[in-house]
Amino acid sequence: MIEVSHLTKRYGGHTAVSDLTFTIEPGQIYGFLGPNGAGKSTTMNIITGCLGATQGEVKVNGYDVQDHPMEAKACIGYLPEIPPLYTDMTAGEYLRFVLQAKGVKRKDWDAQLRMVMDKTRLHDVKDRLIANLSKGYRQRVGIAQALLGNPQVIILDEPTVGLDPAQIIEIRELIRSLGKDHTIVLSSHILSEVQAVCDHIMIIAHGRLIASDTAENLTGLMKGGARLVLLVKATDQQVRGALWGMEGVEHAEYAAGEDGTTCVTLTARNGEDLRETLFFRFAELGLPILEMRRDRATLEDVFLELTQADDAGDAAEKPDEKQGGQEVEGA
Amino acid sequence: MQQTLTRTRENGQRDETRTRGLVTLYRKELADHLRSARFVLIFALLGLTSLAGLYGALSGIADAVSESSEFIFLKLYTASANSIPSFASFLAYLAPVAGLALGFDAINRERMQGTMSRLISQPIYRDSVIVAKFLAGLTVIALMIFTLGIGVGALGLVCIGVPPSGEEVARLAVYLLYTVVYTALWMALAMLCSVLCRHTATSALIVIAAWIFLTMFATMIASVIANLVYPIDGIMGFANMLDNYELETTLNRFSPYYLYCEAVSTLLNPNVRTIGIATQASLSGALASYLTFDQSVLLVWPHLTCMLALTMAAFTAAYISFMRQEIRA
Repeated sequence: MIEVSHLTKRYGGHTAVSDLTFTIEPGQIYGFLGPNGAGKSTTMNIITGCLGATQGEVKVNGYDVQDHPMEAKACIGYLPEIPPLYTDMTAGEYLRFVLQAKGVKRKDWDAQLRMVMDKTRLHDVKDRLIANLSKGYRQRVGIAQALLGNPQVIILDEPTVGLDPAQIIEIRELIRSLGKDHTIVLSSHILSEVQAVCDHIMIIAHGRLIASDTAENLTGLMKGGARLVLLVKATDQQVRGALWGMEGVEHAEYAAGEDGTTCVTLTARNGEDLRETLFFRFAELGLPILEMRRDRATLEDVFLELTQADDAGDAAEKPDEKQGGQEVEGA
Repeated sequence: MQQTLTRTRENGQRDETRTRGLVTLYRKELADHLRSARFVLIFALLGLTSLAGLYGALSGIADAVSESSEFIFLKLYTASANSIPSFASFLAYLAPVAGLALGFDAINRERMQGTMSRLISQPIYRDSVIVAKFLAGLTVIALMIFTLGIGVGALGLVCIGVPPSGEEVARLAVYLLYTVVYTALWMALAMLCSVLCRHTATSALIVIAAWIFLTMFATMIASVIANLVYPIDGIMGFANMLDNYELETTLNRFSPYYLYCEAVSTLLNPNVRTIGIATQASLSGALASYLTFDQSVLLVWPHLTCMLALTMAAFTAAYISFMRQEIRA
């Protein structure tokens, strides 16, 4: 559906997107995750044809965005971060204007308007000026215009920013329902939102794609993904003794409780499942396990680890660059 | 053969897309202008000043007719009395305001609101945006100028009861068309500023400053420079007079306002036979008659083409700057 290959975008000396390559398959909801300034919006802008790329190419439904912009844009519905609407128009007038701009045939206008208004529940406000609409309704108008022309791909850039919790839930439900008929690319830095809505997550940092998989696989990939938390009715020393020399334990952290319990957090080597072994070991020693649970890594952990690792990688690269520069100077 | 057919079909689709985008945006811009409070205010301002100009002309038309009884209808546009300037003078000062008001925020307002990226991401060509804005502005200008010009003529006709001759109608048509181009030049300059400046307030200040400078101060500065280069006081004063006048006129002609006034006075006053100094040699043997319509047009042809060229140059600069800019959401 969308093929991005070796995409690079530079603003003067600053590289916003660097050699980005990914493919978006039809019929899924993709989450585009990254910290502020990671290059998400720039990538979105290039995909939607707003910005030109410095290098690389973007194909939408087989159409190169640079060579066939009209055909490529016709396949995309785009909602930028802050819904940019003509506030002196009514919602209905604005949607009719977008229908004209998208070149939808006049005989299809009524059906299209009915369809998007049903989906976004805009019927009640269609004759109201956009200036007088709440932010949630404006966002709905923005999504409605993205749906007009029935594009295969809908790109939503931070669609829930600035909305109240009830509106956020509504918009998320709307996105999920749209995902049944459209391919959706959702850019966000709200991890819970991406996890709740998306089938596939792409993490971008410093303009590079650093991970791309389902949320489950990403958390599974995480180091320490198989951590176990045990609450044992025993002293710190007893628990240490029980775990002494046990195979498969990579790391353990102990915290003594006031009620004669000890909480231990274990990291298993190679993601090995140690629950059964632990149960029998502590049972053998007569140390009752009051609680045992898997402490799976959250998407937040994955995100932080990956983006921080990328930061560290960048920092490590910089001295080399500096050294390289000195060598050139020296030469 | 097949390739040629495919290419022809693709080109046809592109032309259709281009036209559709342009027409859609043109309609929207035109509707926006016509429904805006700004348009109502500007039109009201020009309408009121036109009425004042007509009142002045009607008050002074008796004196004007006593001097010359030819081309009475044109005097509705040029005659003045009771310290009220003529319709033509009012329009020379205030028509640029209409152009500036229609263009100073054409592009940067869309950028500030974020709607530009929304437009660009639609399947329409980017240049359609600026071309549609210019064409819509031009339509509004033409609508205003012709409404005012014809309105003043109609009211004047009721008051004086003298119908215009064919030549007068032709002169008025050229005058109004020229005024449209003159106003469009200011709009194109304002649009250029709106492309180059990020904020609407900045572009508004720049175009207002340019308007004040070129309509009010440029003439004074031209006179000062001419007097410095060719002093007309003292012993060499008489010898420098012609050079001084030529330099001052040349410098003045850099101002669209002066260029416009010079052309309009020639178009609406058939007794104007030259736009430079009438020397003894040039007047010798000349017939004592009015200049015909085609001769008047020929006399101001450089002014007309220059104004058109300036308008196109300003719009082209705005177009190129706009097309080279990056638009981010």
